[in-house]
Amino acid sequence: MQETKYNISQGNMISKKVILTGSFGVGKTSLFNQFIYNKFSDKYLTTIGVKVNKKVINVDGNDLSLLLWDIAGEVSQDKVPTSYFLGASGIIYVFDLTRPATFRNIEKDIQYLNSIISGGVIKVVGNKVDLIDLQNKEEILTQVPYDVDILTSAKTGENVEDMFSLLGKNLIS
Amino acid sequence: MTIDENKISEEEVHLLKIKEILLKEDREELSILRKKLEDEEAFNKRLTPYIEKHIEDLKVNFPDQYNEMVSKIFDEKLMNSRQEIIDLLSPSIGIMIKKYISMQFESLKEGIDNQVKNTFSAKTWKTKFTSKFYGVKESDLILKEMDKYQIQEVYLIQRNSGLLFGSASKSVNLDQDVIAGMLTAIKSFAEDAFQQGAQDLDMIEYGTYKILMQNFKTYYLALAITGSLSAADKDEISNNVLSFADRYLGKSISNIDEKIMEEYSKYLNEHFINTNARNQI
Repeated sequence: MQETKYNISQGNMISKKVILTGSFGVGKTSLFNQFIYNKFSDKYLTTIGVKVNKKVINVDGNDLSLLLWDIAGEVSQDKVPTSYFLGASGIIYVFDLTRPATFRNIEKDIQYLNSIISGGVIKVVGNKVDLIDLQNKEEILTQVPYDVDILTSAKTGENVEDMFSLLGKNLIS
Repeated sequence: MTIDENKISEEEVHLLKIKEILLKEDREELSILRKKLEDEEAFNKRLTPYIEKHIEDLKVNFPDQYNEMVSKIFDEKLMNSRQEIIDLLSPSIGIMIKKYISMQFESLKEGIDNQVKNTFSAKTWKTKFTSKFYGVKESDLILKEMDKYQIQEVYLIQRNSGLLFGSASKSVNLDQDVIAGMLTAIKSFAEDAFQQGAQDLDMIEYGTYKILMQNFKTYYLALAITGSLSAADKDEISNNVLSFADRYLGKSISNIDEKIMEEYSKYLNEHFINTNARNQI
C-alpha cells in the first residue's frame, strides 16, 4: 500500500495570519527574511505580488504558528487587493525612519487597515534604526503622527524577534 | 666615442681606449644589426617565411596542442550562455517531444488494439459492449482506464485567511501551511484582478498537475491531481468533495489549532487519498 501523509498534532498550536504592509522600500521583505531565515541582503528587490511563509514562535509557553504574508509595497486600496488582508489576525505596518514620506500617511493608512480587519492587532514599526543616531531618533519620532510600537533594524536584527513576540502576545491574549 | 680627458684620470682614459679598440668590431656589427632591425620592410621579408611555416604547422598540429584549452573556453562560454541556449532550443525540442509522445501513443493504441483482438475475458466483453453501445473505440476506453486521474494531495483551506484546516498527501512535499497560503494568494489575486462578478478561480494547471478548487462560503478544497481529467471526472470529483463537505464540514470553526488540523487531515486522508481506510470504517 502507498504511504500517505497527513498532519499529526504535537500539541495544541494555534495558527494566525499576519500581514506585513507599508510603503515601497521600507524593509518589509528584509524584516520577513530576517525573522524567517535570519538573513539580510543590501540588494533591493521589489516584491512582486505576495510572498507567504511560516514561523512558529513560543509565547509564554504556547506555540503559535504565524503565517506571514509579505505584500508588495503600498497600503492603499487601489494598489493592493483588499482580499489579501481578509482573515488576518495581525498587521505589521512598517515605515522607514529615514524617509518621512513613508510615515506621512500613517494615520489614514491605519484607519483603512482597521476598517478591513476590525478587532485585529496592528503594530506600527519604524525600521532602519541602524541608520540614525540617538539624537535624530528622538527628533524623527516627534514627527511621526502616530504611536510607534517598536523600532527595528532588519539589517542588524535589532528588535526583530521582539517585534514578532510582542505581536504574538497580543494575538493570543 | 669622445673622451673628455680633463675630467677623468689617466688610468681610466687608458681603459676606455682599450675598450674602444677591443669592442670596435662588435660595435660596428651591432650597429649594422640595429639598422637591419629598424628597416621594417627588410625585417618583414626575412620573418615572413617563418610565420608562414608556423601557420602551416599550426594547421596540422592545432587539435593536439590547443584542444584542451579551446574545450575549456567553449565549456565556460556554454555554461554562461545556458539560459540563452535553452530559450533558443526550447521551441524545437518541444515540437520534437510532442511528435515523439504522439508516436508513442499511436504505438500504444495499436498494441492495445492487438491485445483487444486476442483477448476474450469478461472485462474485454464489457469493454466491447460499452464501445459498441456508446460508439467509442475500444482502444480509447482502455487508454482512459489506464490514465485514470489520481488525487495526489488535498487541502482544506479557510477561504479569506488562507489558513489550513487540514491536508493529506501521497508524498512528502513543501510545508502545507505555506502551500495553502500561496494558493489563497494566487486565488485572491486572480479574482481581484479580473473581477468577473461572483466567479471563483477553480483550476490551476502546472506541468502534469491540475489543481482543482471547489469553493464554499468560508472555506475551499484544493485537490492536486495527476492523469487525464475529463468533464465526467471533474463531475465525479466535485460530487466527492460535496459528499465530504456534507459529512464533515457542518460546523463553523473560529480558531484553527493543531487538534482541528489533525482531525480534518485524518478525514481528508480517508476520504480522498487512502480510500481503503474509509472502506474499512
